[in-house]
Amino acid sequence: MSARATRLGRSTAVLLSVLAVLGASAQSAGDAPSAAYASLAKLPDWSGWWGSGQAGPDELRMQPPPLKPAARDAARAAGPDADPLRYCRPMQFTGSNGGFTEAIEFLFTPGRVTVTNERGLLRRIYADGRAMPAAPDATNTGVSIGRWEGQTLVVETTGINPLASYGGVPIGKNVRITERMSLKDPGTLQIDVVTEAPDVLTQPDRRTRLYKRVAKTMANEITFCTEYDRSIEPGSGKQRFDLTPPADLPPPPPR
Amino acid sequence: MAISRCVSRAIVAALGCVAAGGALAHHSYAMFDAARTVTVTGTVAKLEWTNPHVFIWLYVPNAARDNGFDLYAFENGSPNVLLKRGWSKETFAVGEKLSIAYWPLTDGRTGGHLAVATRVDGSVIRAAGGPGGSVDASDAVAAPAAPAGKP
Repeated sequence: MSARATRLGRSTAVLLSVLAVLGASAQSAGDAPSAAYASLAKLPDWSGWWGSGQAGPDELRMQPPPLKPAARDAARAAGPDADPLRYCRPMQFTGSNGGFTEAIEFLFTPGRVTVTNERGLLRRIYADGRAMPAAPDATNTGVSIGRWEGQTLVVETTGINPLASYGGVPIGKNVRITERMSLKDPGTLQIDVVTEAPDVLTQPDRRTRLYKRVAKTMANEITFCTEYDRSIEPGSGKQRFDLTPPADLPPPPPR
Repeated sequence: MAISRCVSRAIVAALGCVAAGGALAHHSYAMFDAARTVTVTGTVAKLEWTNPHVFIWLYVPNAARDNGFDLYAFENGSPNVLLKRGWSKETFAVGEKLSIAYWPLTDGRTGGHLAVATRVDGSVIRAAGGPGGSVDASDAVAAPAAPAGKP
């Protein structure tokens, strides 16, 4: 074998080795998402929808938040009627994922948990090891960083819109909400919530909310923002009971 | 004492309206007379299956009217809440006779918030929501007698 042939053979071998390594890398990259998704199998089964009759007014009647006197006065001034200015506002997270009527669901993807509810709440909880940003922009659902402690998801949320309503008043600045979510049993999800809102609360507000797994798929949405609302005058938010009959009513039955 | 209790209730009601994520922030129940329910019997004109409230329209006989009927409207919960309580958009058929117990409008118009309906065959359908705000507020209201007619 000539020297030239030997060099060619060595070059070919090197080239094949490089291609083999590249191929292996490409294979690894191709497998990575599958492996990441496979890791979800270690997480608890929170599939389906979860309903609560508790995370709402009944709970707050039993256990009002520890509002500071000024905040309590402001809540009193607001009165029992709904605030029309809240009409058609986007969902805001101030510690409750679902309220009076809303079932919630959890979507697991690698490094992330997404929480939604029937009214369009969308919380992105990053559970990929990233740190909480030092000064997050204020948003309606804040910035949520999660971590798994065994089968319990621990979530810290900051960066909440200071004007978001809590206990009938704007929640204020420097809010931190800590949630611990875990299955109490296969059909019951327990969320322990601690809300720190130093502008309006005398002390952290601690609550335990229980959600029951809903057997049926919840296909419907609930929204107040419809093209025609008999209860609220669009634009002004003024309350009403509009008795204008539907256009397609059949005639009355024969007398 | 009575006043402070009233104020306390007002505060709690305000908290309930807002801290529940806005679920009750749609409107108050002040437009309905929470102290009493009224019963009427009539024929279903329409089941309006819409957000944020389902409405039931009922033709109720009234000989004093030119056409012989009053048209009543009954507010109810939202479709998703009613689905959880066993309703569907086909729960009531047009032309079906019903007796309905409801919390009347305080302004005297022909309507209110549905509490409970009874069919000709005696079966009972309970609404969602009502004065007080809880989903199952209608559970405390007695079902009216079944309307006359053949099931």
